[in-house]
Amino acid sequence: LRRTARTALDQALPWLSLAAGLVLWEAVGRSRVFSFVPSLGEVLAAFWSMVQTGKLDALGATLQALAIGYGLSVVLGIATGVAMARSRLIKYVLDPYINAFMTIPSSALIPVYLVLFGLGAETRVMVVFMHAYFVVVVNTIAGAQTTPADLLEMARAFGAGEAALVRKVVVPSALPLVLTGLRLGFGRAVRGIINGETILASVGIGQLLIRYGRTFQMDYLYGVVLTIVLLAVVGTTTIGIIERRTTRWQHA
Amino acid sequence: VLLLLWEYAGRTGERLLIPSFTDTVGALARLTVSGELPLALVVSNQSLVLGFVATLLIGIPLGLLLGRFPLVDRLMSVYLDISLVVPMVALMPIAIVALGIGLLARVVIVMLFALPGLVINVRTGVRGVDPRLPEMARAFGAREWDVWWKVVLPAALPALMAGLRFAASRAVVGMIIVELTLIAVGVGSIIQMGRGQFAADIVFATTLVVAVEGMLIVSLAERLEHVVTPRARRATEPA
Repeated sequence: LRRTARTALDQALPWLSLAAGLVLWEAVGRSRVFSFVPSLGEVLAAFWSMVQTGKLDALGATLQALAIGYGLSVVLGIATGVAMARSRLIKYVLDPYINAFMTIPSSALIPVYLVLFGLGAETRVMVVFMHAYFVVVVNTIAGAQTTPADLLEMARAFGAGEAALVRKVVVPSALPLVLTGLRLGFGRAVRGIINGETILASVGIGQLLIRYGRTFQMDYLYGVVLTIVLLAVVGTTTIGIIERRTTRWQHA
Repeated sequence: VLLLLWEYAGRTGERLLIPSFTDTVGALARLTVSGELPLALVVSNQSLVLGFVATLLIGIPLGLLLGRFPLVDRLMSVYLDISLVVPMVALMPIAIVALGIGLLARVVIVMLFALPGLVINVRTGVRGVDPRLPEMARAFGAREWDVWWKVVLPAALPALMAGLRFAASRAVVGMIIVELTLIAVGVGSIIQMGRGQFAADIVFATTLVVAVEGMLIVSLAERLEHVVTPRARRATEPA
């Protein structure tokens, strides 16, 4: 009994800690010691009023660019990764670029996309894509290379062509690492869209962030930050759950 | 190949949008000779260096603490998880309202970007240390300090170094983003100015410098990693 009580406590601790953090926040906010810390209640009120007045509709534009950019980087990233793992020529040609873009800070390139594509949706999609794509590629390559050689040989002996080989042998065995890539990629994609919109400062949730920051509307600013936190946490958690579900055999 | 393609696109396409490679190099030379770019680099890197040092001073002890005491870890890990997935850009305006637009704000922002990755890696490293090693050391009469300094830290070193590399690249991102958005100084201000004047060659040239600096710093960290821990497996990013 003591043991079950202990594990229950262990599991409750993070939540208790979170609750304690929120109470502390409320207390500091109410005390008005720091002008830049509004109370939790004020922030929630601001958040709700943004929902009601449609200010948060800006989120729609953000999510759209995020979805398109992330979707593209997933599809193209997996395709590129598999191609690079299967063909030595493609790997030699693309490797230097992939490595370079993995090390260059992706956000530093945002002004260049701005000059190239203007203030429209293309820029934001491009920013998201460039943030997420390379992690997906690198993880897919790593995953595809772990395909056991005897499996490939066996499939070939039974008459599988390259297409069937990739679809039925390479992709399934690469799946765990591919999914890790997708999760890391999602984190980067969210960072990308927020970075991009903050630098553009004219659309989506990034615009709200900059505007409320410049006008010192702290309760609204925290409301926007809260929205971003929720978006990132919910998205990453969801992908984490998918990852655990689809690769359960690996953890068993 | 990419450089040739770039030159071709720049020469044939709309000059306004895509400067050719030679234009870019020209702009780079002009900015360097006028002293504008070197000066801006110095200003930008102040926040990078100070922020990174602060990250090390806070991140390594914090990571050790979390790895050593499960209770502290359980209490803190919610916040750590959140800080790892949330884009730090969102916190920048708050930092600026709190600290103003001076060097301090930039240093803190660089730290915000770099810290979570380092803390998580150090924690993972400490946790991965074979528990029999500290035990054995204690059995042979090692004091707590010696156990930390001679057993735990060396064993956690590969993860720590990977965290360092990751933190370095995040620090560069923090440095440039704050300059591009809220505090227009240093390299960021040159890029913004170029954007305002539709001087694409200036934007390209300055971005190139930042990108190269980022690559240099990361490869330097990588080199250091190989020297310090020659045989360890490398991670790309804290998972």
